Amino acid sequence: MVTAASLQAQTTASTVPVGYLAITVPAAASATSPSNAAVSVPFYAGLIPAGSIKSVDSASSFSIEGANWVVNQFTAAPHFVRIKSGAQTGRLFLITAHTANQLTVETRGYTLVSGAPATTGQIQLQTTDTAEIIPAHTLGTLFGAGAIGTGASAAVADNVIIWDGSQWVVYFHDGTSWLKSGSFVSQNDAPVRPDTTMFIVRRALTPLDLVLIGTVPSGLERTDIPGPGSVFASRRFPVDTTLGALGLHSLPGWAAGSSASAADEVDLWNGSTWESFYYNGSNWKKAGSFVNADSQPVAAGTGLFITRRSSATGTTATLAQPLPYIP
Amino acid sequence: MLVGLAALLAIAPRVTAAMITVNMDSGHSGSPAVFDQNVLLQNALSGGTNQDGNGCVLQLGYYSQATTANNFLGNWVPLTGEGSANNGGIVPGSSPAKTYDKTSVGDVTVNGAANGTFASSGLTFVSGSATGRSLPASTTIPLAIRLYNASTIASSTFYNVVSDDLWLWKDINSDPPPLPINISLNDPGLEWLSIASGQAANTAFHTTMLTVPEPGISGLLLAGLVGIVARRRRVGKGGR
Repeated sequence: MVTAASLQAQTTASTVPVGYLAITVPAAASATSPSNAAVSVPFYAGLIPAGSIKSVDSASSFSIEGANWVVNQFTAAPHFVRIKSGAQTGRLFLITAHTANQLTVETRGYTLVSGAPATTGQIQLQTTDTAEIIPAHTLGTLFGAGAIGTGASAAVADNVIIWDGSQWVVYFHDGTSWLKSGSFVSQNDAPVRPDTTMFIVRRALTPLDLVLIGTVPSGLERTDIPGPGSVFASRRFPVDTTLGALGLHSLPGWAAGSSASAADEVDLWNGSTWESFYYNGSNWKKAGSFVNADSQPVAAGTGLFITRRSSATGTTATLAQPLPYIP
Repeated sequence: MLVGLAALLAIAPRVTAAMITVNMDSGHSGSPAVFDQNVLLQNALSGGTNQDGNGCVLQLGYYSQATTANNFLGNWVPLTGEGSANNGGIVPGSSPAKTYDKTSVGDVTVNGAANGTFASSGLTFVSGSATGRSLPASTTIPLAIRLYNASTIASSTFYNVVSDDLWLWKDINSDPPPLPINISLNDPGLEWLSIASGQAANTAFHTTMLTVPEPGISGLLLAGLVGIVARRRRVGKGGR
């Protein structure tokens, strides 16, 4: 991680820390055996200060004090709004439309409210909260020309595969634009959420060296892990952690059990296969082993495929990860 | 921004990575869980020495016509252990390194297995390879584990098979590869062949099914027995 130098004058000022992470997707073993890597981007594409929340205007919209944006300047290319301070710090919403000062967002099942939440499906935004705008990484911005193997179909090109909550969605580049398998519509602007991990399929016989660059997260981050269901969650921060330190087992309703099939399950891609882990009520265990797996590494720039067999909705399904470093 | 540094070379046609990983363990926090036939005596199936692969025979496999309605229907097809066609690939963590057709109780020591326990993580079946033979043809087939009470099938006198509707085979022709099939004797819904065959409920976790020689072998034994009887009759007739 690289931190940009700060400037000091009579008053201390600082720049936003930026960093990079190098990841190599191995070369395919052969023409018939592609390699695979689980990749997440633990950096933001930039930060645009927004200001304080003025009001919650509907279940999916709120206004920012003093904002004077060009209408829909944040939707021509996708942007997120991130709650920067307050009780909901780390919440991230895709902006679907906006006026000069009001944002309409994709709430992913939540209802925005200004008063005290009546259910776990409501998120309270207060006038003391602040927000910031974040340009979204997209398939087009993440993978520049020549970065990934192109081809006429998903079966011959390298793939970027994203879990949409119920199935894998396969993307490939045909040499002109990003496409979704089974569609002719350009996916160049398909946003890649910071809380999501991509699965990259490499078919060429040379490795794919990727350098992830961007603004380093500088605050608590929240990741929704609802259940029953599965998410391919990202590590979020550009530093390694462990299963034990991640704290998934402390989520409300997290199902511990005496086997992987009977508990909420975490699968980590080790470069060639999935490894399954579960929490037995005291420690993390690896399926097929009796050894304590609390210290199982979860690397920066990767992710966790999490299958919750337990029910968990709304804010009770949210993993809040505090900043693991001093920015 | 993410920058690709590798040059783009020729792109080879490719279907998918046809593979799946199976993890299996005896559960019960590593305490002995599988025992020999006497259900009153808790005589754990031997894990052999502290080396892997020399305990009582353990086969991961399936019945060819099995479904969740009948997990034991059809012919037994071992994917690992003695008799398996998967004689390639090294059981992860095994010491000395054992191929897939050598799995046994007590494997894998580094995973904490010993007498009466087993714990193998990362058994990966790759279609078209020496670990991809005789794979189930359908995702409706549940996997099973067959346990014998000796270190070879020939020297075994009893066995048992356990399956579970949770252990269904998966479609391996997908990218990314499917999540692992996780097998544990701690799983709910275990089904034991002994009980399905009419034996008592306490035969679970015990090798109580009498081994039956293969038809070819039994035929030979029968022929030999007939020969012996005939010879003794001839001797009797001609003797004292």
